[in-house]
Amino acid sequence: MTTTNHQPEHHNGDHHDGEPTLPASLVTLLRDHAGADIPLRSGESGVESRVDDAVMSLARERLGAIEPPRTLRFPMFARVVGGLSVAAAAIGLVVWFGPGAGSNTAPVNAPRGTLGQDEELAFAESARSDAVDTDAMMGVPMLADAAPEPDSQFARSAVAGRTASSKATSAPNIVTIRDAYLVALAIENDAPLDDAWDANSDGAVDDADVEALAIAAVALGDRLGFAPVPWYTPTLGALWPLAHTHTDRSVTR
Amino acid sequence: MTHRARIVRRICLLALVALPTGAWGVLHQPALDEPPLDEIGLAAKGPVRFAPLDVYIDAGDDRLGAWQVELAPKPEFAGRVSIVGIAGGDMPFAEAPYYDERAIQDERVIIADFETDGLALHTGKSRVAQVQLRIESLDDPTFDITLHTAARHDGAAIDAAVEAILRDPARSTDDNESTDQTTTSENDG
Repeated sequence: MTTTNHQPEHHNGDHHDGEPTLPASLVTLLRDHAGADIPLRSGESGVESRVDDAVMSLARERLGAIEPPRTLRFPMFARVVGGLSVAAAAIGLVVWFGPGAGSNTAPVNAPRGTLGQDEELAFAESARSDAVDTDAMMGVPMLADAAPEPDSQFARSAVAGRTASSKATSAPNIVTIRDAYLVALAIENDAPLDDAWDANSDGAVDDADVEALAIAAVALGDRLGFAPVPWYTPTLGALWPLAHTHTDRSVTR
Repeated sequence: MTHRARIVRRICLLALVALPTGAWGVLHQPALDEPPLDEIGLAAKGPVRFAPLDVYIDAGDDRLGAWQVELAPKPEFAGRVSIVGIAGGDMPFAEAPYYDERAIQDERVIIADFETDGLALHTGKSRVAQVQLRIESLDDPTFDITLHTAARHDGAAIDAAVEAILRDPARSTDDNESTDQTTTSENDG
């Protein structure tokens, strides 16, 4: 036996000194498996086949110890039942939650939203107060019932007459476009301007006050259900500034 | 219990849950039939169409300087009409009037405008605004129109008549107008 452990290992049947050698570890394994008499040198009868047999036997033994990956195999009835169940559940969910579901469960003319009328009214009043500074508007005399002079000084006369009169009491809380119109005429005709017409409380009576009066005239603050429903939801507190901004810009010309 | 048996048992349990769920969803689906329209007082529902509604104010012999109108469909058309846009009319009110943006996608609106250039004002009947509508009704909707106020060139309140005409481009020329008119003007003056 010439194969020794102190020799460098060679793979793939490399020759050393004209003789084939095997790795020492493989020789040890083969001898443990097939017996110490296994010839591991070429030139002897049946060496190649016996070495092959030993290697194959060892491989079978080792590979047989490895558990093959488990494959899931189900009976056909289980597959069919499972598939039908999932399909049925999917159809049911689509029918229940799908487009149009529930759209006709209530009369078409039912009130919008899900909150009570009081809550909608509260929001409507809030939106109205956001759109126009009604506190500032309270001090503005209503100008609607004046009888201006039909001459070139009509604006001055009209404004003076309204300021002196109390005819505005006929509609004390309703601003109309005519109020904005009369203030605009007064401004354009250099008529005396009453500080009480400072509708936006900026310290001056100017076109901005005309705009404020016009906005107040067309504001939809006294109607239920006009605002988008999401604004009502208490969980949208973070979005309230956005809603507030929208309300401030809600009147357009 | 083997792994395979556990899987089979889980599938069976899933089936026990899923099958009744699906059956319940199918059996209890929302009713697709609408209630009879006459029961809820609505006009017959029709295909969606869009049409402009022209608003006219007749100031008579006065020159119209300011106006304010409230517009809403009559109750039988509630939910069938929504406002999708608001535009101006003819000079001097060619610019879009004042309105509350919350009226868009809703059905009620207050529109108003004024013009301080007295020389530009007109007497008689003027088209002061146009309201673009989305209509979901076979019939042409009718409206409640209220003239809140009208003023002449010098700011004095005047009596005026307001009228709204629906122009449906899909209808024939002879039948493309339906008019809503207030015979008595409401005025704050």
